[in-house]
Amino acid sequence: MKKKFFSILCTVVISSTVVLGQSTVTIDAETSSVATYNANCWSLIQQARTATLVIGGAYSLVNNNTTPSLDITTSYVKTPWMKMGSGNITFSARLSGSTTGTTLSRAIVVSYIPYDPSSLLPSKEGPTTTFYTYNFLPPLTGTASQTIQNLSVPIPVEIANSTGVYKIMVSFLGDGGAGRIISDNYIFPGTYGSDPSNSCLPAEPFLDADGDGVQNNQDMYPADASRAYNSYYPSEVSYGTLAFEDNWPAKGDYDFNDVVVDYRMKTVTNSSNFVVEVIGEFILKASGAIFNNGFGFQLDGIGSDKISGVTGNSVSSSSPVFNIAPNGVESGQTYATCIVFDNFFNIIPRGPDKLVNTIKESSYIYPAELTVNIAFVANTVSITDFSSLAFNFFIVADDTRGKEIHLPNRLPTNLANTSLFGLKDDDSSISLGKYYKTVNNLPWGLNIIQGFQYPVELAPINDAYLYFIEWAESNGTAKTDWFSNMDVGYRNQFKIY
Amino acid sequence: MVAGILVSCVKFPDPRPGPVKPTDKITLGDAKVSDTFSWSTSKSVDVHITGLPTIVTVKSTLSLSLQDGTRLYSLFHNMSHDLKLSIIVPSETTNLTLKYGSMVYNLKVIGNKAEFSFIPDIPEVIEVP
Repeated sequence: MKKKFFSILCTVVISSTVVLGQSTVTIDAETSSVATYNANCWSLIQQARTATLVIGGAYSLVNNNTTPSLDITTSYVKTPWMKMGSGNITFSARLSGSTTGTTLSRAIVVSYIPYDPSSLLPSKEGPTTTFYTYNFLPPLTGTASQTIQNLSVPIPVEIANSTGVYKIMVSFLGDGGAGRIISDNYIFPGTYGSDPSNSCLPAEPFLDADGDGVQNNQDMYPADASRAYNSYYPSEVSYGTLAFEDNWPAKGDYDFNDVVVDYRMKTVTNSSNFVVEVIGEFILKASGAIFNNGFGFQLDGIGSDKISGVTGNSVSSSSPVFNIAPNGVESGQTYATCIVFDNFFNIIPRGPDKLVNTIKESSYIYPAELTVNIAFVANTVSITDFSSLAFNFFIVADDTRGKEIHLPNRLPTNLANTSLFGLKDDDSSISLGKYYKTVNNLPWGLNIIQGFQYPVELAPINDAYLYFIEWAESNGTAKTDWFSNMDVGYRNQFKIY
Repeated sequence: MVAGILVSCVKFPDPRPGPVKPTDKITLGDAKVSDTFSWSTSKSVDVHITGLPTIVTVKSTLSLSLQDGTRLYSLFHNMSHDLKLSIIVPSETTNLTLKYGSMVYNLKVIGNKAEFSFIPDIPEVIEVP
């Protein structure tokens, strides 16, 4: 078993971010490219792998500077940061035997470099101290020069078993000629101490107050072992806007203000990347509706049994429309479905005009906010299996559970009345995978993740946003800023609430 | 008197005229919209991250942000592992920022994909000394 990537003889956790502690650090050129070694915090400078004149295995290292140099920083193998052990550094070397030019000398120099946190260098390397030199003896060319030399270099006492961290640099020097130095089978006593996730600097002391494995300065919940990270949809600092028409399966007036809700979803995960909870922030902005409409979302692909509780939503226990299971999701659903509110007007009563915030001349009603917490059964849903695509928002129109209206081409839940598909203006087709669109593909709902200002009552959205149709007819490639651009010609502000 | 009659025949102007519509004659009902149009101002991006075989186990926080620094996604990631995930971003997004530990990388979004490898993309030449 001469060749393996790196020998790992024992492991000690010094930091949760880097598991340290090999009693030797080795390199033999076998299992990865020079670039990959360097990404692992080795510095292989003017070094390449060779399959010719190998010392062991299938590959060895060879200096690839075409002009020999007497500078120790021209061509070298430098270790990652290490806590040095004691004993000898061992490796093997041979000359390539080239007879081109006049070869005057070839040598190997071994040095150590201390860590210097005050250094201005990005690497934080301190001054180099050379402690060993090997001069190849003649002949320096030809087959006779290719004899393998097994070198054993004592670690200097001042760094052996030191509490500090060091790098060992093995440099390849020469004067004249074109011959190379091939090397292999390096064994450095000590433990690996670099952090590839931190510019290869020494691994920092590990502080983890809650013991969840995520160090404090990366843990968004440093004192809570059950939580570690937040992910957001649409983003950490912004809200999206959902705007629905509620007359489905008939077309409405396309003012997209029958239900207007801003939203931001925060997914909290633990150190094992399982979803702990989803916290939905919803701002009820407007409802220009005659109907009483509810609002919710399905977590597509997430079974109802994966949810342990839902709090903060507004659903009457005596609701004739919604039946809520003991774990807070809607009963009768394969996938977890959270009803955020059962009736917009139960939260914001109708204004004098019987509507909420869709007629400019009417008094403004301050939006209501709901923060809904959906707790997940512990360690059942990984964040990598839970994308923001799972949020399948919909309204339930006119106190009729089956009148479920989704964003275009989003799937209905189990409780949608699919017998309404294809009626009136709806052109939904389960077989074609077309949902909640008219025959000419108009939607009943929009999701503007950047947020937007909705149209006033009875103003079709294209009368408010003057490039809306151009955007739609271009398949979304033209006028992509139709909702946000404030320039003249983009919008009719009088038709925007 | 004639002038007064003429004025009275002119349609009373809208007291709050808006700008001229670029598609003045077209209504939503007339719009020709593709079957494939998503009506979305966002897009889903499949992010594929290739791991680096590391000497020791390296775990750190991996986060994805928009270029303005707005954070979207965070998780604890083993640097040796590959990772695939999907995120939803504004449709005009052309770049994402990936942060791992203290390292910051730019990811180009090409179509609906963004790829990154912790292994440096340097072609290796096997030397013949």
